[in-house]
Amino acid sequence: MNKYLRDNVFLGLLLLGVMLFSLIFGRVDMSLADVWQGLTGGKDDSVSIIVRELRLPRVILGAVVGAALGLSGAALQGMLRNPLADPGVIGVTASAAFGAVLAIHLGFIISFPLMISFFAMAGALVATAILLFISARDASVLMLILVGLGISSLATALISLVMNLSESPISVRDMIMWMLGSLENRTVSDLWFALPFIGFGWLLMLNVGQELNALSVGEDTAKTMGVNIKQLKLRIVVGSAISVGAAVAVCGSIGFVGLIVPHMVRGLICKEPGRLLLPSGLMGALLLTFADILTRVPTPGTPLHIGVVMALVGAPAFLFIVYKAREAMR
Amino acid sequence: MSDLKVANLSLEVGTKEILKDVSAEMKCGELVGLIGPNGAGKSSLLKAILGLQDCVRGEVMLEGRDLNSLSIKERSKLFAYAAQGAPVHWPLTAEYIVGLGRAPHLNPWQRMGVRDLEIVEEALRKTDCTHLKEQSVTTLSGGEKARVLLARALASDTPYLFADEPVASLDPAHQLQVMDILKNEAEAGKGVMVVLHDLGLALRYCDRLILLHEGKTIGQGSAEEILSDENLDQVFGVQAERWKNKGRDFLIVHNLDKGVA
Repeated sequence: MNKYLRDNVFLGLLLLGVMLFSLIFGRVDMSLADVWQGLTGGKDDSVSIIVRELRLPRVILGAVVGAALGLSGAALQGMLRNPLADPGVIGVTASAAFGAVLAIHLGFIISFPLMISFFAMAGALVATAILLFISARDASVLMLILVGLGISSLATALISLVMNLSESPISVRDMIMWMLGSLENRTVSDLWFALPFIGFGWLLMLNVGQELNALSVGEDTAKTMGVNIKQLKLRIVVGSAISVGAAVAVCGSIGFVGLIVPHMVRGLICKEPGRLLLPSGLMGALLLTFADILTRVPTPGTPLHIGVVMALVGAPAFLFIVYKAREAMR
Repeated sequence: MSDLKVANLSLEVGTKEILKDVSAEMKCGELVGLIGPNGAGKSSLLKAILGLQDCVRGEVMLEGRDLNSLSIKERSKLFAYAAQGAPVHWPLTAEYIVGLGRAPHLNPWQRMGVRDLEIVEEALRKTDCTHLKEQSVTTLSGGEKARVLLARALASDTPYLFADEPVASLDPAHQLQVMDILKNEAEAGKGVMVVLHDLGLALRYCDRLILLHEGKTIGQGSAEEILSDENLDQVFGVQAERWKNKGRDFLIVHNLDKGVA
């Protein structure tokens, strides 16, 4: 087995281990044996139900969302040839958040909570459409980044507007809490909502690896090497927009995963842009599962939100990586 | 009969006309030099031939076929391109970058085979880059990087090779080495087109020259014919000193007659 394959298998096994470990923690104390019984046995006691219907969907959702963020980050960094790119750079994160905030403002949080996800997904899709429309004539890297920045700013402005107009302090609090990102109380229906979008996004980006490698020597040269640049950009922009949009729609804004995961993989596994994708997905899943365990550390007041934990872990990690990998930033 | 034929090509960027009715030809086995002052349209002509820029008018025919009828993938197996001052975005090794040249011949999931690795090794050796192969390209000097990028184009092993100022950042010995490589590739049967500013190198190495000026073809033909005193004066605004040594033609440009020291 070559090193790359071995590293990926190791990451995958580690992920499964951490996911299993994550099932132990929660309001009800459990042992690993309880968790195992809940997963494998057909018993319908309370422990089994908690494991299967509350904890398992949450853990799977966390891993899938982490994988979506990590993989999109790696694909976008490769496509934009910029180590500072993350899924937020194309504007979908903020736009999905605006969709969710609007749904909360309209009162769906109590009447029909899944509507928040629908609105968030719609926000992400509208943002993608605007991005593609404006950059249709000139899809240069600079144009994509600037249009993404413009869309993000607009979405942020609209979020502020909704908060400003909201008369209920409880709604505003719900909006803020939603934007902090959470896997708390997620059910199978959230998983089924996100999975098709995330899966479709991944499908679009399935075999972009070699083309991303070719892009390392610039667009012109890559084109003479048989890369259809327009199609490649379309696939990565739409693929990551849809999968990240779905991730934000069910979990709220979770930053830093897409930014730092590709750097971790570059340092630990390989630097080849195309081969970053798979391990970045696995590493993203691992990181978010781990962050989710940290949110269950008892704290005074409201339980920790995963977006907060990720930012607290991610920002120092990012600074450390920047300091260590100055050469890669040039 | 030419293998590559550019006919009445016009190219606009914005409202600026970069190429005006340019015609050019190249045969396999020939080293063709593309010369002309800054802004004459040399790089644009290469890019137009390679399909990197859409032309307003005109056509590029390859062995009797319109190039527009070929897919990007088909073209990539015919043309290799060493761009001018091309970027390398990630700290990847020289060997890896040269290996990218094999991409046109591999499907999206395929890794390089033994034959591919041999070709990469050979390209590194030809360009004197073997000792650099483990180094990250981002740590190389400008000239070393230019040689690695030429090696990448050589590794594509296509019947046509286009190089945009491949000697621009090289030391004198490596300039000659790169010209020798291009000459050898042509002698091995490839069609090689190279953008040059050094008219002395153009005279010594190229089988034929194409002279561009303000987006137009001033002439194409043998080096002696194109590098006439009249052309040098009118297009470049320079004079030339010429001599022969060991049967080779030498040329150096100056502007002494203009009363400037």
